[in-house]
Amino acid sequence: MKRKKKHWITSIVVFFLGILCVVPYFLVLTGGFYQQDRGFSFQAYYDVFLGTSQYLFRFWRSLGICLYIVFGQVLVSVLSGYGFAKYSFPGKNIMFFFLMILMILPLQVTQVPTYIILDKLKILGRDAALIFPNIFVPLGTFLMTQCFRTVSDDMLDSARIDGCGLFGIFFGVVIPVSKGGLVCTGILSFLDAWNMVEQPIAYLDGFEDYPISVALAYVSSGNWEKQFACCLLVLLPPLFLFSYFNRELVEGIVFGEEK
Amino acid sequence: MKRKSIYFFVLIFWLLAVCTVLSENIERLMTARVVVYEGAHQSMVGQGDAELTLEALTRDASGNHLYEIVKGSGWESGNRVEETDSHFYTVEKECVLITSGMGGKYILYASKEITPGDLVQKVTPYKGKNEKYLVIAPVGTETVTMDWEDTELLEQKGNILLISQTGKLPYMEGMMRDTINLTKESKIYCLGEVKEFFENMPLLSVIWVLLMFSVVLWGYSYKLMSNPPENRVLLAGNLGIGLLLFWGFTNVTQRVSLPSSLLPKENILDLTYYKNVFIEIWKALEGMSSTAAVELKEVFFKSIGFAGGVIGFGIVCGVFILLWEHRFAKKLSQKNKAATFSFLC
Repeated sequence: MKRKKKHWITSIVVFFLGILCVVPYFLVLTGGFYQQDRGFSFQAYYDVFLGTSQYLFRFWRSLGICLYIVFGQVLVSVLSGYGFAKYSFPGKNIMFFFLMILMILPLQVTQVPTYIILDKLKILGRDAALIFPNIFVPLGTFLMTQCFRTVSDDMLDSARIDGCGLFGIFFGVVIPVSKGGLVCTGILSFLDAWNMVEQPIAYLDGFEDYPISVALAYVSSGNWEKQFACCLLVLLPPLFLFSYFNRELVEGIVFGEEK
Repeated sequence: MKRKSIYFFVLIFWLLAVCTVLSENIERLMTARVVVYEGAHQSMVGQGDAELTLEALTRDASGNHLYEIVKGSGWESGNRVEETDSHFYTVEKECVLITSGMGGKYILYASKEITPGDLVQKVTPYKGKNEKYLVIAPVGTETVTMDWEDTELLEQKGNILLISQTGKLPYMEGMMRDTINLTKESKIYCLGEVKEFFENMPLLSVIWVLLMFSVVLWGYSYKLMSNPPENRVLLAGNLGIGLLLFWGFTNVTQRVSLPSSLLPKENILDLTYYKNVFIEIWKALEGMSSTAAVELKEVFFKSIGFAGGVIGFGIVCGVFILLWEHRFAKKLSQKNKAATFSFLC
């Protein structure tokens, strides 16, 4: 009896917590349809999706920037992760240690040095100023190193005995068994790039250059319904990634088992 | 689940691409052209106050509004409409007197109704060709005096007049009212612009057909995805057709040029507005026998017929392509079955 009561209380608490989590998304979906002076209306969605091309052009531009970042980061992470996981070279452990330190450093700490480097490279104020530093974010390398470490050396030796070369082993054995980690790195780098706020403000010239994550804050504060409609637009790519790759994402995060 | 999610999001992203093309063109069409008076900054208040036409004022339930152009920022960049503070001007019997002495770009005429925040384009009117205008004076107006030498009265039916005039371009109702000395209560439609609107109807129907066919194609492809290896060729074909349709849609959309004077204030899809405007024009033209009126009616029926034809042709084409694909898929499947059978034998 006491157990049943406890179970009920837990259910109620979980239910209310669940509602608390869902309410913001529900507000985003429904808020765009309600206008303070007109009641139910599609006007906010019309304004964002059809009234002007500004929102959608900025959306596609931001998506393009993110895809460059994802492609670059996955490439760099895979290559460096494989090196850390499967090769021995002098200073490997100390380099990995520094990589982990870099990973835990707050963004604000590295922002000024990055700014100076970008200035020296003469790419400040351009999209490349967002793409270039994000390609070398250490989290991807760390994730891929951990992922490749779980690929057994025996498997690689067998492939080598069967006549596989370096590329054959890498693309034919290592990459297919590490798909989860790869997808996880890709998704995390995409989300990181899609949600970036500080870097565009620091590295770009002004509103005209900002990606949608920053420009969203410039939608007039009095126009709630338009803000909600914009939020829906911003929500779409992460929603797609999660709905398509949810299984790989979970698999990628749980890559402790040896393959 | 994966297949469903990719198909659902393909549709979503395709819709976003369609919206991008549409929004770019809607913005182009909905941007009002305005004629402005650029007041100079005066060192002393009252020194050479500027006089603006009464047409510069917009009247509604909340009173008079005078608008000016300002440079916007953020999402509202470009030339934007802003309401002038009522302390900066006085409304006289025949003009609006600017008393601020601060200078500014006051909007005299606009090609369509404007509200604060709207994006506008500054233009300088130029003399156009001879055009026919439909004037609907307020009920009770017996005679309309036209003290303009270029104006010719073609037909009159009570308070409704059909006139011919070499007006200025781009057409702005307020500017025309000032030219022929009519009050703000009267409505003037440029028949050339109404004709242009009707002539765009077939293009609009092409856009509709292309969009509808793309959605049907998406639905058909979703069905084909139940067996992707067997329907690989058809799916690739559908992708090709989809891209071709999108290319066609982009091209056709860029060709649409709806006259600004006949577009609604806020939403280009406001069908009630179009209904009211065209019912008003139609009623005014009813019973008129002059060539311009008859010609406009003919253009309307021709455009409607052409638009209907385009929709019909689009449906027939769509059905034909899908049936042909279906037959092709059947043949392909029979061929594959025969090949498998001969291999097993």
